[in-house]
Amino acid sequence: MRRVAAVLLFVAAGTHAARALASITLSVSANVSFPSANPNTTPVINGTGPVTATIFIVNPQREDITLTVQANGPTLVSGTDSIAIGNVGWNVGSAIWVHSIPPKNMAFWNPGNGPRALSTSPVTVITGNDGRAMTNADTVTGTVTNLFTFQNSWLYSTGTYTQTILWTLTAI
Amino acid sequence: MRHLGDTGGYLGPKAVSEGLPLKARPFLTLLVFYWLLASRTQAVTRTGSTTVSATVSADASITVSSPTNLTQGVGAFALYTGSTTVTFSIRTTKVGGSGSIVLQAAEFAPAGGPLVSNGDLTYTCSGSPTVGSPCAGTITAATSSATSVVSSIGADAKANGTGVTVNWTLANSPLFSTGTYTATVTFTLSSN
Repeated sequence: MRRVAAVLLFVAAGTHAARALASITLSVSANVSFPSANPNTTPVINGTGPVTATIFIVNPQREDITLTVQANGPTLVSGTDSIAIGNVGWNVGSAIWVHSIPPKNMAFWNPGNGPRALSTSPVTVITGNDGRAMTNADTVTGTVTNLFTFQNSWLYSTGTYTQTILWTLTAI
Repeated sequence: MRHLGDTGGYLGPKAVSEGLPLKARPFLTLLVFYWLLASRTQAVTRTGSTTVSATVSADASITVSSPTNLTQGVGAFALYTGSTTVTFSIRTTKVGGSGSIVLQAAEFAPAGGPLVSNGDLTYTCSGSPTVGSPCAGTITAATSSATSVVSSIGADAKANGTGVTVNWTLANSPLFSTGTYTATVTFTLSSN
């Protein structure tokens, strides 16, 4: 009897945590591009705009939040030509949390880990905590703005090079 | 033998401790540990993707040492000589691209001295640029048309800081009035 009660307690606790964390969504900007430029005058090209990762959480309960980034392949590819993905760099431009109403505990971001070069291994962009809501309906929205750069070179073949970068949000 | 109902539904810490058989205590401890662990490690993961694209187009950059002073050789009415260093970077279109360097001179000023239009200014090219071919032989500069410095830069050419040297020769003549004469030479690097 006691064994059953303890197991039920365990299961109940687990499902409570899962229910709270199940209401998390992540959306990111679909594209970032780098226009062509003269390597002498523009050795490092800025992306056409920031890449924004938006995290939306219903009923935050002080989960630890981690956002990582990685490239889906080792190179930017244009036909048979390629450019090492390490020539693309990222940095956190800004990171904020906005609560729907004043919470029990405020969410916070720790300092970002950039600037870094992209690689195929996941690298932590930023970590934080989503705070604690007053009610089940309260929400918190985290916005992380990422700035991308591209190392220019005379030695690239002409073309349009593409690659996909992957973002992973983990909440515990 | 005690039953849960003996406490009216409440089990204080002491009651639990005393009520559990010795065999059950490690099991309960383990469950509590798992519960604590589970409540902290129930991770939720979300993913997103962004397409990154970089456009690389044909481009070029050139620097020319300036000014170039031509100095008279040894002997009466010896020719004037000097050289200009041309440094350039270039990338041409992968398919069908090309590039070149040409020069065109403006006339010497003031009047009374050598004349480009009279064929008084000639040059040769030296050096081994990593792309293209430096001019061959002696070429007479002109004011009316461009003449070659580096040619045959083909498709998908890529070079950073390569160069060529233009070696000038200017005629001398007893008919020239004394003075300092200046002409502007424009180098044009093209890439497509």
